[in-house]
Amino acid sequence: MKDYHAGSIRFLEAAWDERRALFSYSTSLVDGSYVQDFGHPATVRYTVNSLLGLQRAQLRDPRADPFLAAADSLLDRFLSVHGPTLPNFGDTGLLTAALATRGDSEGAKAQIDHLAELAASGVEQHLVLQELAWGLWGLCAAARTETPGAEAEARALFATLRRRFLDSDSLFARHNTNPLRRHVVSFGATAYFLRALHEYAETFHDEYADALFRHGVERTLALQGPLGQWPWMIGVSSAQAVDPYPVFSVHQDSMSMLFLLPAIDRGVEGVERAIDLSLSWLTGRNELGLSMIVPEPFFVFRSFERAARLQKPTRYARTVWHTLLRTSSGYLGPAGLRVNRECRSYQLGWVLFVWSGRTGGRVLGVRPAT
Amino acid sequence: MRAIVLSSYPLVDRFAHKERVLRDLCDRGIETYLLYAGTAPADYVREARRRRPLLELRGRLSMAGRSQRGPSEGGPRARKLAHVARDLGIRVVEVRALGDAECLRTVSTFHPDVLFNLSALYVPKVFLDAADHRVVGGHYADLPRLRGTDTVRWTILLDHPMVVSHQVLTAEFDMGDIVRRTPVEVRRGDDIATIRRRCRTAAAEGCLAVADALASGELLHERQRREDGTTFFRMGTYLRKRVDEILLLGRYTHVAPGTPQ
Repeated sequence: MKDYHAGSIRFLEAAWDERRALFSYSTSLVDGSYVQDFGHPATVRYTVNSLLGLQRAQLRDPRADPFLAAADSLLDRFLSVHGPTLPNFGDTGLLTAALATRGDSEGAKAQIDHLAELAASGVEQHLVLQELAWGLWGLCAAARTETPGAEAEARALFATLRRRFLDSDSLFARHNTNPLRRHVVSFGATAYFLRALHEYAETFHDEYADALFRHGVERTLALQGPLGQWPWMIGVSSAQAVDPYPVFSVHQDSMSMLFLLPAIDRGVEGVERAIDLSLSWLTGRNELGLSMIVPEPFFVFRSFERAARLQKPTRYARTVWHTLLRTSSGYLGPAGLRVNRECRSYQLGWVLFVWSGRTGGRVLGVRPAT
Repeated sequence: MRAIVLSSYPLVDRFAHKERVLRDLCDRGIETYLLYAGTAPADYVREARRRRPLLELRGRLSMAGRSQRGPSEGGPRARKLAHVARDLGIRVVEVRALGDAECLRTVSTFHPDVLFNLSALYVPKVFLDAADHRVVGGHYADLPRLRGTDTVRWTILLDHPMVVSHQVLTAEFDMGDIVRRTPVEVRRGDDIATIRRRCRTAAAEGCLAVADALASGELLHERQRREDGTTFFRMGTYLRKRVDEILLLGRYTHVAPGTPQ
């Protein structure tokens, strides 16, 4: 655990660019050295995400190392270069969570006002599940610190998610409300949705959200593959994996933990085993028998993906087929797969967020393999 | 003392618990009106759609299906409530909607001391104003903890004791003062339809107890605080199956002691 945690901090330290005030979008290992790429619009999103993870690690680990100790100043630097507001609703939501968590109620209030403005401008109509879930998460964090306006905005956003996105029959939520896309949701968006339900239930002592969370976790557990894989694409009404690939290591080591660890605390059945399987996939008990972790310099491969040409068209066809038939798509053997050997900063941000300070109960049990 | 009983869909309104409320109000010498809303054909269609998905509509054209009719446990099929009312000499008034001018005029000129909502309809604020905020409704769950819809199932899922709460209706959904709680017995082997039937019986008993307390000046109001409860919404198929399983496997812990397996 210590190695993985410490490795994540070292990775993020290397991925931080002080001048840009950003963590990199993607990192490659070339001749044993990191090569950083900042040339993608999602770099800002990854940075907010990683800052939240660093902040959590700093708050939860009193023996913080020098880079962790600088988490607050990194957030200030980010705000001075990219702030005070971000154009994206979801990114603003996570930023609100970071500001509320450090007790900056004035900063959090400004973000809430910005979220309300974005919602009033009609942008909410075009948002996807992930963005709304992050927005709700941030508003809940702000409501816990009694930031003015946070509770009302959180309740309104929860109502939107319930009315427009939740399939109350399956308990999965839709990616968006577009008639062509609403039948499928990604595992990532589902993880964020469940996390938002957890945050809402905890903040407002809402038993309805709590029930949706518990039973939503139960349904998601049923999707886990035989080697612990979390499938990428899920049929909303069928509750089946319509395309499991790519299987992402970020889902295995941290994003699934956004809901699994709170579910352990609630005593949901089967979660311990799901965590063990999820982590053992990462360390080599997987389709290729390959550990996803490089110990030095610390690095985690991104995913296993299909070794096929025309990835997108075949993925769409597969998804449509399984969605219409309400069936699931199976996992592949080694011959059908290849490794995506990049690493994204936000993965290590989530690792720090979910695993920091978990003493007693469940802690991260993976070690880098050689 | 004067009372109005609100009901709905008169053509299919055959419920033993409603009959009991009418009869017992009469027996107590309370001057009673039976007020019907939801009387147009479109109202029946809308309600049928709300209750059942269209695919399940076959065999359920009568909203008061077999499991919902009749007295609480066995016995003969209940009569149409409007016929019972006429036999008892109770005036029956039919309106299209509770917000209609004719309806509001009827209510305000009658000056009822209490109105019992047995209609399962949303009662609009204009009606509550016309009734001087004296409308009492039975909610099939323990208020304030469980507000909203499908609360019998949510009560089972959350393993909470089954209760019917009577509240003074307000414009804000399920936020009225609580005036009575009536425990509902659940026995091993019960299914949801059976529990609902018992809730209806408890709702009728609750209405009559409220009328008695009102007559004796002993009706106590318990104010609700928003933070003391949660609003629940329609339960989907997955959770409904879970609730059925809980009942079938005997995992609901608030069953009456000594009931057979």
